[in-house]
Amino acid sequence: MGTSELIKEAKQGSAAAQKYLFDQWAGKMLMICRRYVKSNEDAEELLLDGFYKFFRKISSFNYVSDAALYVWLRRIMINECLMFLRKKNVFNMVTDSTVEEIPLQEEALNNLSAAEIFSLIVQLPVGYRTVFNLYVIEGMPHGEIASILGIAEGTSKSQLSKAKILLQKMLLQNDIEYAKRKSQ
Amino acid sequence: MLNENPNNDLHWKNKLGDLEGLPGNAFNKEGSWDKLHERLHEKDASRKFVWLYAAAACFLIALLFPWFWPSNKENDLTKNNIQQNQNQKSNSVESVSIKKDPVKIISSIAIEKISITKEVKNKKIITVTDHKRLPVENIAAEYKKREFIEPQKISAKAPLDTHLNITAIVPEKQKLRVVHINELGESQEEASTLVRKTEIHSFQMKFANQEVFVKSPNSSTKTHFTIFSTKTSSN
Repeated sequence: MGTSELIKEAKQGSAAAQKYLFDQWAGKMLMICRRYVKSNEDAEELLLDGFYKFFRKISSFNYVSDAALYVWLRRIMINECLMFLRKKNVFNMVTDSTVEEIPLQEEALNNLSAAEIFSLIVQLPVGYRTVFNLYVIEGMPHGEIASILGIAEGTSKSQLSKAKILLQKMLLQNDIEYAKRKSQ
Repeated sequence: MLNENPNNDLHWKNKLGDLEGLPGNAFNKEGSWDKLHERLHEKDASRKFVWLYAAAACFLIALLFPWFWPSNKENDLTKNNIQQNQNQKSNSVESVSIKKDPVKIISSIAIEKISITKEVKNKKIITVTDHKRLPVENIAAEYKKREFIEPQKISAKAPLDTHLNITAIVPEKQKLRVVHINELGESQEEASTLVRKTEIHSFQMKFANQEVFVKSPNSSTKTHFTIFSTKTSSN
């Protein structure tokens, strides 16, 4: 059964179609939630909230392609995560005027698997992590990030810079360990 | 941030885009789905109950509506009566205030006026009057009572429109009997004949054995002469 058929049946309230869609997308969506919140339990709760909203609003969704569905679902999940973080009042960030450009080592990045990169991002503090996720992974401009998080644009830039410095350090350390492992 | 390398960021994005799970953390899809399914259907059930409650509330309102409707109607009636009787207020107030003059009291009792005087905030006097004719025997007793009756004053704080405070009686319209013009003519003729019959007297007198009497009126009406006749009585 194609995704468009599943969407049609889910719109009519078919529990089987809803379950099929959940099974299809839950893993990817959970990873998105995990990138924003550290706790696994919180991420799962946010995943359920996101899918709940998705099934409630599915009647207004017109299926075009799987990519469009993915974008829609991802947007719902990110909004849920940002709402959760805003409730916890974690975005009290101070603007830093000195913004440095930190190039991340591509070679070091190539040596790492997706899971390892993921674990590096999760280790970042919440402010750095959120801006890094929104800018680098979701591809949002600083202006949009600033309006979503309720911070200044400069703050968003400085947070990204600091996140990259920290990641660079982590990558270097990881690279040294990788070299050690390789030499052994 | 001016010298950002977009290719570097794209590399990160591509690496993380395909990630569906972490090796250490197993995600219990079935358990999560059960929770979600429960939440979805729980809301449906609560929505159904909301509709049920709404329907029950509407039904109750419909049931209680007749209880409230007549009281509103009554209030409208009293308001109308108050407006009608505002013109008569000077007379009715006078009837209560002149209680020391016995002649006026008796006249006021003969046509009884039950007046309720109300003083509202702006000191307007609103009266509601009911006219009722009393029998003559009760006039003296009523007069005695009236000497002690004070005009009822109800404070402005008390509700005005309750039927406990105001007894408003709508004066009944007099129903005139519809009479056809022909019937009207006949009845007048009958009445005139009756009058004539009563005017014509028949009497008897005795002179010794002779009784003098008037002849039948029908025969005499045409000529307008009274005919006296005599007959011998047995006594």
